[in-house]
Amino acid sequence: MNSLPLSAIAMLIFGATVLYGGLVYFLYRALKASKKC
Amino acid sequence: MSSISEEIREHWNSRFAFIMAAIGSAVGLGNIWRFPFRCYENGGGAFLIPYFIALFTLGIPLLILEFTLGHWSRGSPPVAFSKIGKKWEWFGWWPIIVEFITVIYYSVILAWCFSYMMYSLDLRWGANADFFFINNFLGLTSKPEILGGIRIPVVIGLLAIWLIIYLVLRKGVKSIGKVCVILIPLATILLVIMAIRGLTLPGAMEGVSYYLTPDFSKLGDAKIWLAAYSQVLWSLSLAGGIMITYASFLPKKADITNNAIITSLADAGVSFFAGFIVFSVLGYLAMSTGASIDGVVAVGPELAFIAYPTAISLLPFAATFFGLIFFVALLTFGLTSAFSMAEPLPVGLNDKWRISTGKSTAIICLIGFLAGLIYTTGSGIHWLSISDEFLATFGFSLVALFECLIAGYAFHLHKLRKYANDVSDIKIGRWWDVLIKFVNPIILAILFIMVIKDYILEGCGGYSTYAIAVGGVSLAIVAFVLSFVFMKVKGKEVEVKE
Repeated sequence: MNSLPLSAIAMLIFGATVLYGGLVYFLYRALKASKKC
Repeated sequence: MSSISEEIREHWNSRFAFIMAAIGSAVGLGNIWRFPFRCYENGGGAFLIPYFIALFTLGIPLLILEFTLGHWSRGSPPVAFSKIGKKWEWFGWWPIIVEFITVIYYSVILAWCFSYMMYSLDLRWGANADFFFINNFLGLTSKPEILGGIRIPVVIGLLAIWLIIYLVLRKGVKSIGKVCVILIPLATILLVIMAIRGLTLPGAMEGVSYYLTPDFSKLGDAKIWLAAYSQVLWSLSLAGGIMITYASFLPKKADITNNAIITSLADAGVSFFAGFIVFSVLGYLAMSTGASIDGVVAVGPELAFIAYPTAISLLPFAATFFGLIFFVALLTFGLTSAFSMAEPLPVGLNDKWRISTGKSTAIICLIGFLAGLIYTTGSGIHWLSISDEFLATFGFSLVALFECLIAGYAFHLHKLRKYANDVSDIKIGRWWDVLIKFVNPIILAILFIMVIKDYILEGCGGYSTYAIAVGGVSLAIVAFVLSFVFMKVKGKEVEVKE
């Protein structure tokens, strides 16, 4: 098999969006808040 | 009251240092060798659904609770719980003693990583990594009662690990922060390099397909949901007093909620990413050996010290380099977790009896090294499995359950919520109270009952009652009794100033 099944790609996008999208968003909020800690 | 002295509590260097240290604590060996397998055996990509629900309903709310308790009390868990009620101080000691016993055997696994990091320079495991690990390296005996002698390479590794822990912890959290700020980004870069190598190997997509292809029919099985909740509980360093201790060193106006969310998402993000590294290499291993993925899939030490080294030996080029970076990454994430596991006890001793951090750290590291010698014998892995079953599997789910009950019913939880909201950028609502008081205690109680049920039905790896009593039950009892002894011994009262 050379490529991923569509359902696996869908779960990859789902996982990456929740985790890395979420992480980027909350890091952005942390930067915006500009709290020292 | 006895004479009260004043002390200025140490702070983290920066918000980044705190977040790196918290991520370093949460991300450990389990993210790399346990999560991908959990995903694979519990419906592949479909496992992400219960996993995310568990993360948002149990992981993040409990982490917010622990950060809040630490920040509000400005002290280690014994201080935090004695502020809720003097009679609860023992509950603060219990998890940090359990965590210390856990780091005793965890450091031995890190010693294995240390040895394998050296072995990867000449791929010492050769063509038969299985035989090398079990016979040449561990000298594994048939049962725990046959000790089989101390394994010198493991002892050398163990000494190195405790020396590193001592050097980092002796100067307090500022030093942990400085080290984590370097180690966590470094280990992440190493993971990215490994992922690129893994995903460009032949057969990699076959492996990743096993990891991610969802089987939604499994979502109806309660065991999948319990697996997700237990994975979240153990992955985030919850219920061991670590996060309470770390948060106690945050400055007065530090954010709590957003820091908890960032830590949780980063931890889960590393786990998810590790799946690609592990399964791409397993796919390559299966293709190279003509086996099926089911035939080569492995978890825990078997994955790190047998399956992965076997695959590394088969790499077409730069096998030594990729072997080295795999064990360096494993060791790095493991060490940052070990720092956090060994830290709460010296802080607790310092908070109560003002024993200097340097002195208490030295004593604790020495005890940790000497006690860990039992796990360096030929029967070490047997004792390690028994101890882990009792402390990590039973202990932490029980501690988390008590934590929710004490914070929810022995204290005014809404006051903690208000406290967190006053200092945080993101405000939490009443839903948090509902999760801590009602939903999570039920989930954690079910989790604990299921673990006990499995233990009764399946036993503990077929080990004898004697071995279980010595390696498991006795440790749990020692932790429990010590927590009451520590509570009863009078401390030196100190007023902590900002």
